[in-house]
Amino acid sequence: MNGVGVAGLRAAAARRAALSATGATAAADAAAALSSHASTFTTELAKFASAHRADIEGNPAFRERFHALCATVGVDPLTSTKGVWGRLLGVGAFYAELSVRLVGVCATTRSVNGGLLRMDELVALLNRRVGSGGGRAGGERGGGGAPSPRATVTADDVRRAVKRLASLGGGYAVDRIGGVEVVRSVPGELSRDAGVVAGLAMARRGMVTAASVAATTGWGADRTATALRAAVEGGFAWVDDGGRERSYWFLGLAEGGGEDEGALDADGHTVGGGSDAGCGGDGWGIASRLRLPLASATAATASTVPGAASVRAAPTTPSASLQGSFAS
Amino acid sequence: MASRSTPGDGSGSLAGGPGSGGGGPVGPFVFPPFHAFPPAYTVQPTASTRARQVELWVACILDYCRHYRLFWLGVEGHGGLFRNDQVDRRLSAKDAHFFLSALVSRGGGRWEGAAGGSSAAAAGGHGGSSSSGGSGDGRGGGGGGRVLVYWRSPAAWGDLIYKWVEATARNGTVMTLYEVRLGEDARGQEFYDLDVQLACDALAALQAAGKCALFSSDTSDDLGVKFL
Repeated sequence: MNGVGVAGLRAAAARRAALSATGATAAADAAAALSSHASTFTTELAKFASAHRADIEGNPAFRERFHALCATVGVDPLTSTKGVWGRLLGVGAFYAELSVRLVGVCATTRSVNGGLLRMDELVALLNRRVGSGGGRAGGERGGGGAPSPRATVTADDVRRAVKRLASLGGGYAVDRIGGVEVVRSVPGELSRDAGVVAGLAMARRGMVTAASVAATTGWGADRTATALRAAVEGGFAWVDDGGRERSYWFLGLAEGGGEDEGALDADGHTVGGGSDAGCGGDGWGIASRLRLPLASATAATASTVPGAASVRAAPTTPSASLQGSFAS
Repeated sequence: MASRSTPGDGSGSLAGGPGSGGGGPVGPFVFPPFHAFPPAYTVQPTASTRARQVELWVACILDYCRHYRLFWLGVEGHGGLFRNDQVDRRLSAKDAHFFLSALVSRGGGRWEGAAGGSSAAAAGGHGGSSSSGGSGDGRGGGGGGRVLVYWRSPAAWGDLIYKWVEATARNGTVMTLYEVRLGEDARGQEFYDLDVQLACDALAALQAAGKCALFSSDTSDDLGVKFL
C-alpha cells in the first residue's frame, strides 16, 4: 500500500515532483527575496553614500569602511553605472579627480625620476595639493560633488586609483622595490638587476655608488656598471661626478625629510618652508622639494622670457577619458 | 646696508643704484631646492633628464638675476649661483657655458657681441644676424664670454620705457640714451640705470615695433632716439 506497486511508484513520483516544485518555488522565492533584499540593500547603500559623501571624501577611515562594505556585496563604487550607482557622484568624482592629479604629478616628476615614485612621497605630494585647480567634476553635475580641499588622500586611495588607471594603459602599476611600495607610471619594469640597485638606493636615502652596489651585491664591475647604466638611461637616476667617485641619485625613491615644506601657491609652487636644508644629513624627498609645478600652465606675462614659461608646462591630463571611465 | 645685497664674491657686474628699479633693500636670494642637489652640477648623460636639468638651471639663473637685478653673467657665475658650498659642488666653466648657451637658445639672453634687439630675443633659437664678435646662436662668447641676461625681454623693457614716454608727454621729442637711462625724470622707473647694452636692445625692439627711430647703431649713451 505505501510505496508498493505501480500506484506506489506513481505516488512517489508525484511526491518527488511536488517536492521539487516546491523546492523550485522555494528556491525561486528565496532568490526573489534575496534579490529584493539586495536591491533594497543596494538602494540603501546608494542613499547612504549620497548622504555621507562629505564624510567619504573627507575621512579616510570612513572611506575604508565604506569600501569594505561595498566589497561584501560585490559592488565596486568606482564603476558608476547608470541607475542607483550613478548617483554616487561623490565617490566617483573623488577618484576621478584623484586620478587626474596623480597622472599630473607623475607626468611632472617623470623627467626627474623616470616614472618611479615611492608611494609615501606620492601621497605626500597629492596631499600638498590644496585648493585651487582641483577638478570640479562632481560640481558640474550640480550639488557640490567636488572634493573638499582638506580631503586626505591615503595610500589605499592611490592603489585604487592606480588599479583603475592600469586598465587605461600607460604602464601604471604599484611595484615593490627594496620592500617599499613604489608607483610606476611608465610601461616596463626595471630589469631585475636595476631593480636591485634601486632597492639599495631606497635603503640609502636615494643614493648609491658603483662601489657600494658591488660591495652589497657581490657583483663584478661589468654587471654593476650595466645595472647602473640601465637606471640612468631609463631616467630613474641622475649622475653626480662632483665627488671622488661617481654617484647615482634616485629622486623618486628618496624619503621626504618630514620638515615643513611650506604652503603651496596657486601654481602649485612652494612658498616659504625650509629651503636651506637641501640634502643635509637627513633623508630628503627631492621630487617634492624640486618645487615642480603641479598645476597646469599659467600664462606667461609679456615681461617674462618665453623660455621660462616652459618650466611651468602643463602635465598631460587625459581628463576626458578618465572622467568617462568613472562616471558613465 | 646697500640697497642691493650681493652674495659672496663680487665677481660679475652688478647694476642698480639707489634709485633704480623697485627700490628698497633686497634680501638674499632663496635658491630652489634643486640648487642643493649634487647631480645638478653634472651635465646629465640621458637626454630627457638633461632636458629637465636645463629647464631647472635656466629658471634658477633667470630668477637669480631678476632678484639681484644682474644684467651680465659669465661662466664664473655670480656669488653662490653656480656653486653650492653646503654640498661642495660647483659648475665647471665648461658646464656653466653649456647652461648659459641653453639660456640663450631659449631666448633668456644673448652673448656679448651678438646682435641684440627684438628679433634675436623673440626667436628663442638661432637669433639675429651676426655682427662683430660672436654669432647669435649661443655658440658665441667663446669660453669666457658673458651673457646679457633677459630676465625681462628687451621688448618688455622697451614697453616700460615707452609707457613712461607717453606718461611724460615725450612723444615726438629727441633724447639721448643717457637721458632715458639716467635722466632726472627717469628716477624711480624700473629702467632707471638700465644696462647700456640692454637699453640699446630695448630701443631696437621699440624701433622694430615702430615706436621710435634710432639715429645710429651706436651702443652707447650717445645714441639718439626719437620717440614717435
